[in-house]
Amino acid sequence: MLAGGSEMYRVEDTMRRIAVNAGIKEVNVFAMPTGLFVSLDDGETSSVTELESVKERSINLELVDRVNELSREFADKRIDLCQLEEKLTEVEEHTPSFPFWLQVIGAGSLSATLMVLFLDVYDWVDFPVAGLIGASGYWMDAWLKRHTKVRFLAELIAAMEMGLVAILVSWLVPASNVNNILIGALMTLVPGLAMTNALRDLFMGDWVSGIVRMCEAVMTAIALGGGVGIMIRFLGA
Amino acid sequence: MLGMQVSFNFWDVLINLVFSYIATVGFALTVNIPHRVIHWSGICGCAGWMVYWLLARAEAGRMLSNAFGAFAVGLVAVLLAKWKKCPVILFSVPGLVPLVPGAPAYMVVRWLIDGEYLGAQQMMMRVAIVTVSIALGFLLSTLVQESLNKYLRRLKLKEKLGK
Repeated sequence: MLAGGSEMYRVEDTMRRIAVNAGIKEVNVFAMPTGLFVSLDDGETSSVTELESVKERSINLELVDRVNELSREFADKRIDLCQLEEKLTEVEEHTPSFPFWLQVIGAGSLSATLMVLFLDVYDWVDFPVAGLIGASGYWMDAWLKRHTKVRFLAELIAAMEMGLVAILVSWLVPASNVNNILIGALMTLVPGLAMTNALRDLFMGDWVSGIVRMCEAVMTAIALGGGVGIMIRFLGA
Repeated sequence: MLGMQVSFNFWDVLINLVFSYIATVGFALTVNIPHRVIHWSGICGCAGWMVYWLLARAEAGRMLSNAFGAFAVGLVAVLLAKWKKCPVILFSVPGLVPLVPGAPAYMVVRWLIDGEYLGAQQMMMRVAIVTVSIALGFLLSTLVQESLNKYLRRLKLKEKLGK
């Protein structure tokens, strides 16, 4: 659930509920974006504390929804503890997801339409170009993320690729505008959302998570800006 | 703000409606949203963008229009989540995408590259203000969520007592 980019208080709340429904008297949960602690106390003999660290984080809403659904079912006593554990493992391993090409098309349509919305000009020359570059950048980013462990490297190189293609296109098609294309195309990777999420975590009183997420967002933004900047500087647009 | 006049034509409204819907659904695809709610998340983003766009057209100012846009997203998301019985972020995460200040954020980079630090600073302020106002607008909508939850709980309690 943490790996799916849920809010911190929702993670803590869900875990507490599951534990209480399982008949445990005292539960303490402390969740951070990088790991989580659970301490269970049955009031008589001993208490158990467990620590789980979370290495990979991305936004996966299907996962959040499934876990939520399962905890709801458990609270209604429709499934018991063993079934719950079984199903949770199953959800974790095979989260149903959209095929990758559909995600790429989604990224492309997102960047093309957002370019028009942001600029408030109906710039039909750049419209398909922004879509294509956005889709290719998203594909590049996902591909690189599979092959490298260094954070932000994928974003940096994907941004460089987008800048390169955008400048090449502007040489071929003089009517197009590099700035407009890149505004649209970069939206597929921009961490604007992570920033808003971070602020919301801060408002809810989850200080650690808010600061970690904000730091992540700022670093991603720097990587993207740097990548595009390098390309524009090199090729002069 | 009051007594404002909005002028637009049908074509503008149509393009904004359709494009905000497509953009939201496109983002929803990339974050792997559950299949059953993908259409509704698009409508959520559409509502938020239209509120923002109309207010911006009426010259309500950058901060106010963004805050109200985010408030609308939050409100629609809460209602949809109650109706569809799933977490609010399923709708609010894609719904906020059209409001993200992408254009000014890019202009910051552009101006830094060109060595115009004053312009870049100005744009950076704009990005910060827009981000904070989106967060504030969304915060206001959680107020609605909490009061709705309390109201529903009281309703349930009454039902129990009635029995």
